[in-house]
Amino acid sequence: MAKLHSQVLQAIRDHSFRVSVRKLKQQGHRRITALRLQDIQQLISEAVERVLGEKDLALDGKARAGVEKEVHEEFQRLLAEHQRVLRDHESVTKSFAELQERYSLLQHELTQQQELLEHERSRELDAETLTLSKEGLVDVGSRIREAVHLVLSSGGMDFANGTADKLRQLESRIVDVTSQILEHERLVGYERDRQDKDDRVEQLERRVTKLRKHLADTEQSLAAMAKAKGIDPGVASIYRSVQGLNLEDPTADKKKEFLKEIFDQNLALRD
Amino acid sequence: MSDKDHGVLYIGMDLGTSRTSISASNGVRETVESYVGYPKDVVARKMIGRDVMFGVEALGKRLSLNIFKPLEKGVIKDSDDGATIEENMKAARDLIQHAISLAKPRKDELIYAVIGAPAEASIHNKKAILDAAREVIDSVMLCSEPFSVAYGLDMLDDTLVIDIGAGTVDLCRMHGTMPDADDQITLTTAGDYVDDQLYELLKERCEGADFNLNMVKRFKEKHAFVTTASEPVIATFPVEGKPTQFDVTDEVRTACRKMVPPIVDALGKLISSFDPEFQDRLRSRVLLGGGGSQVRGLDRAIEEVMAERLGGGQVLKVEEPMYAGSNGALKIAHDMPEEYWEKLR
Repeated sequence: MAKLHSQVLQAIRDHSFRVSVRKLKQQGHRRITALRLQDIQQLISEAVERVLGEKDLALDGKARAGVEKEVHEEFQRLLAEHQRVLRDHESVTKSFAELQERYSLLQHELTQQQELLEHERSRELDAETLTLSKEGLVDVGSRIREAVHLVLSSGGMDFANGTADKLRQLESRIVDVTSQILEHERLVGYERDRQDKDDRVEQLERRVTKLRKHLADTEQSLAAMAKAKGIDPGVASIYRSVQGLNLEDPTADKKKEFLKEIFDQNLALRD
Repeated sequence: MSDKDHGVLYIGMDLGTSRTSISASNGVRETVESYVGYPKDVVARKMIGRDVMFGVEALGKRLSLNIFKPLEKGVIKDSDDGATIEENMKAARDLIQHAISLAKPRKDELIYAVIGAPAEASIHNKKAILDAAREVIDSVMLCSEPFSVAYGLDMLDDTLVIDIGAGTVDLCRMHGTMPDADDQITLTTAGDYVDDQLYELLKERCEGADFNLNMVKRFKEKHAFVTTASEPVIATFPVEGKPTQFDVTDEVRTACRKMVPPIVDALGKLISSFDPEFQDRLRSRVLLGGGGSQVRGLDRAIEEVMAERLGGGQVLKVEEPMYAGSNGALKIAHDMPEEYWEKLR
């Protein structure tokens, strides 16, 4: 029997692992049921003895050694099987947790993209304002210069004998030409902004559609994995954070007192 | 309980003698009958394939199980038909944990729960309930059952709450502050008492019929009423193996009506010891809740006896008797400040 004891102990050592209390706490365990090696060994020995006793088997030394060997082998087989199941379970649980994490990230990203899309759709374009980049300003400047030059060089403006009327005509033509150029630029700019907005909306719509599809696929994978492995992921709460009393409630002050009293009573129970 | 960063699940629980109900902030609402069953031996364990069963499922397998009804008169039993206090405590712990599992909590969410327990539960009992719950949730508080009903319905001023359970009828006077011992009366003339009364009456009425208390309880839950006019209530019990019908209308009415006088007496005590200026208001705001409030016509019957003995009164029935307690507890959980939860973790 001593040999069996040492074999059982060795088997348990081979198939078990050490873990710190701190790590267990980190994993969220608060209470664990511990079984000492000696207790397991004792249980097996007692079980063998009891079964042999119940069967009223008067075994000689060799037969008893045979039974012990069988028990030992069976125990090792069961222990190995248990470990394999545990490993499988851990692996499935890990994959499931990773998939859940991916699902959460996708959900978060989808919400962000949907918000961006809504914002972009509702963004009003300013058709009245002309905005010019530095390059645009240089371009418009040179076009105005060309136009003014054209005005000055055509129409037979004689500045040597210029009169106030002629200067006024000149001023009016320059203003017209400049206005036409700027109005053209404003329309071009507005059209460009509108096109940019449409492109952006289209891009965001494509992204949202893609994310929705990914999300649906991930949800399906999660459900399939949960079903196949008997995992129940639970039902998510509608709250992402701790709530508390609505301070706009007209009875908030009174409720605050009640809640404090309930808390105090529970705190006293804890002490 | 690390990595609980995906949300907060609030749970409100009504831990009752007969039924335990939960309402949760993920929309789950469940009720389980407060029965816990453990396999009688290895063969039963193998056949059932589980170490513990609950509610109706456990009752259905009662021949293979040792059945516990761990709560009596609303608190964990000190002794029972052979069951030790430790066994009842274990059954109560398993029941609480099962009820929480019914809320389908996610592993990555914080779980904060408020459990409605009878006001007169001993400190030992309350600690046992809290210990059991703490094993599976992050932070838990207890509160008085009738108070949670009133809180859930925002009736915190000048209201009399009657919570009729299986083990007890709890009456609580709400007057804008936390009710103390003088504001609460607990009666034992509740559902189980009515079952016993009906059982005795049926034994006389249905001579030779074979039935047990459990069958009577189920029958009462389906047919309970107190009104003068009613369709005939027919019970079918075996007589020497042959199903036989009995008209038990009067017996059901008589047994159910036995609840009324003690309730009105208790109402009278709570009203008469209240500030005389507000007694009328209190009389006209009697809130009837708990599983027992489903007895047909009970609200009217209480009003009639109140009119005779107390000069009038108005009884309002809660809309969801099965969940009024757990809904109220859920609301308390929701409103509780974060710092309180943290301090009790």
